[in-house]
Amino acid sequence: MTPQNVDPVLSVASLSVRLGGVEIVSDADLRLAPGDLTLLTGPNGAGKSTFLRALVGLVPSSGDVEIVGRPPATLSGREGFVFVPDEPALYEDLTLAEHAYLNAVLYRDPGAEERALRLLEGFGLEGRLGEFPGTHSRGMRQKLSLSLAVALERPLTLLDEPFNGLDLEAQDRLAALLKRLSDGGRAVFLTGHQRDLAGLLDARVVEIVDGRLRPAAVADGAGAGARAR
Amino acid sequence: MSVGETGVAAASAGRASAGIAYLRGRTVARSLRAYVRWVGRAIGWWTVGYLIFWLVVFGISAFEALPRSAQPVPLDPVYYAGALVALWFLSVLLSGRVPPLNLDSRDLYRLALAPVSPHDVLAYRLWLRRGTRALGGAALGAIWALFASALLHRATPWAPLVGALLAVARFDVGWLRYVARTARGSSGSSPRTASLLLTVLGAASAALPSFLYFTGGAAPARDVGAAAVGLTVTSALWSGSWLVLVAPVLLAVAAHVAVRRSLREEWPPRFASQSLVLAQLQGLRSMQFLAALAGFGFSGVAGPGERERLLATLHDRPGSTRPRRSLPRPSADAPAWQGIAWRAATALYRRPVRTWFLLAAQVFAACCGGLVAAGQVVGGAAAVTAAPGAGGLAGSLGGALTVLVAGFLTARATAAFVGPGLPSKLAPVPASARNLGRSVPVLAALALFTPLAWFTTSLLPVAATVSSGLLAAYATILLTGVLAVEKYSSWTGVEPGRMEPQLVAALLVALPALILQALGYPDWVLGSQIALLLVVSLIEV
Repeated sequence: MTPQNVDPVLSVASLSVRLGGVEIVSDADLRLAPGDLTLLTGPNGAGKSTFLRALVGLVPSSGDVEIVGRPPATLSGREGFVFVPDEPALYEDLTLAEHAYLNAVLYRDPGAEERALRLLEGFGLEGRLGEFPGTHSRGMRQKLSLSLAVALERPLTLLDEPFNGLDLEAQDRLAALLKRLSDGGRAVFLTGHQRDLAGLLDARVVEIVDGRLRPAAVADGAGAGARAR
Repeated sequence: MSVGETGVAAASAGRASAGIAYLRGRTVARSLRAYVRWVGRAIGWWTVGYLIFWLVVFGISAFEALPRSAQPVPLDPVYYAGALVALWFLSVLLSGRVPPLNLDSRDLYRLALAPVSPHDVLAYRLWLRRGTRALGGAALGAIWALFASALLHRATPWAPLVGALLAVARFDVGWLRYVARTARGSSGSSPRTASLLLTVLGAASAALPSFLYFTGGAAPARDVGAAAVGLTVTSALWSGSWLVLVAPVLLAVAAHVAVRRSLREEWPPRFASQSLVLAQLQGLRSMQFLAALAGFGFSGVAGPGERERLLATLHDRPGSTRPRRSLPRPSADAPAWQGIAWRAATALYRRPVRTWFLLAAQVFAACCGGLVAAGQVVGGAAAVTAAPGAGGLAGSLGGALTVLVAGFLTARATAAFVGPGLPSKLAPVPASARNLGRSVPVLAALALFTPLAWFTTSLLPVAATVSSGLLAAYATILLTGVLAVEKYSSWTGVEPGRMEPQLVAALLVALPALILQALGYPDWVLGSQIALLLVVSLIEV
């Protein structure tokens, strides 16, 4: 668990989300320290994506959220994180390489362009850098989306169902990348409905059940050869 | 045994077409039920009945009220109409690059990839398309029958039926043309021959009477006997004999048989891929239509250039997977606003060239509007200085309305130039950088077109003389309009292409003129506009 004397990267207190009169998330508390790699699991429709979206203000919520000590809605707060939605949100008229460039410019991190290009190469997309993502498969678009996020090396990386649509090799590669981010002192918070991902990532697991966030017990050896399905 | 089990049994018994027919029956019945329910709720069937009743009554009244000429007019229109029908038939030769009908992705994956005759899969859609074409042809034929009765004094009762037959035949020849153009090697020889033969026969048969009339002065519609009527597909334009059906029926049957033969076993090689793209294009169009009905802008439905990219994919043109044009990028450590400006400019640069002309026209209109409005602002102040009270309220408001129009034109041009929205709620981009970056392309375009607009407006009677006041008024009108649209749309999340941000920006631009001119202080307008521009530029949203 996060030591109380370390400044948290993500601090959530009493976060609740009500949508259409239905309480999706109730009174959730969470703290992530630098280097934390945490997986949020739960059944379909449990509110994993909603919780993640609420953290960055994409869903109206009540309670307190701070990312690197600042509210995520502020400019300085947004410096602290990068968010990847479950459906890759890409510009159909920009090439992969142009996405990497724009990403770097927007986050004022010139090195991020080069890192994103290297990550794309690592995902086997080196020959497709000049192509539009609209012509690519779901998995390829997901690889682009993830490469852009990971390349930014923000203090907190938030990923919604990042393993969906990836081939086996890419899943292994993504797991290694996330572990490397975590080892480098960056916090990673991701959702997934596959409990065995925890083993693959060697991650702390929290689950959301009936709108409540709670630590989850993971069976021994759950991660051996685990893959996202 | 349930209905579902019956259908499955039929299909598994080797009658795949029966399975498809069953599936189609289910889906069509379901969609029909949904449609009936929707119309019943949204419009009401009593209302529909009421509308149809009055439509019929008005139709009959219009027919009865149709003026009948005292003397029949010469038969020349028959030959012009015949020539038009021939050209319409010949135009098939220009088609065939895309299928005249397509499958949706579900049918494509589930049915077209199954070991089933392509004709069985396409039968429903073919008949549906033929039906709509037949209705269109019949409507045209009916209009001709009314025209012939009133002006030519000829009864042409078969014209609607012949119109329907010709429309169906042309559609079928269009399909053959598509198969012929896209087929590889010998597999396309049969459809190629059939499409060519039927096109030439149909066009020649339609053009024959016109050809004789225009070249030799012979008038088949008047001179030839009943036997010759059966030789041409356009005899129904002047004759009431049933023989006019012979040629159109033969043509339609021949085309129909040829289409069946072309779809016995193989799909045209590009049909599946083009179908998928056409389905996406149809989806895009439907979404845009619904968005337009709901008052949303088109850009909210698809990213810039998405339609062009799909069209390029459909036609295998460059630009489907890679951009055809790219702008040089600012360096990666450039300020964010430069990257944002590059992004907006790239979206414009990759639009089709024909769109550039439209954008240029919008910018030019905004510049002209701005110059005229600036002239009104400065001129209004000068008039008051020269003769206080001159012009009255109507004249003052006229000047303010000109500013309003200029603001609206500027807002429209801005909406077309700011490019897609940015994820600024998530990215650490200051609002000022976003605002500046998205505004730069339109400001550059406005600056570029100002000299031309200046020259153009100088030819108008409302042209104003150059002065620092005029230039200041011009700059404030345009800048306020540009900044207001970008900031309002980013703040509210409303697409800049929608009317709301454009009207808000126009009203904001015209606010000083509207208020101060109405109150009788037109000489304060310019100063207020400059103050307003400062306020708008300082608001951080």
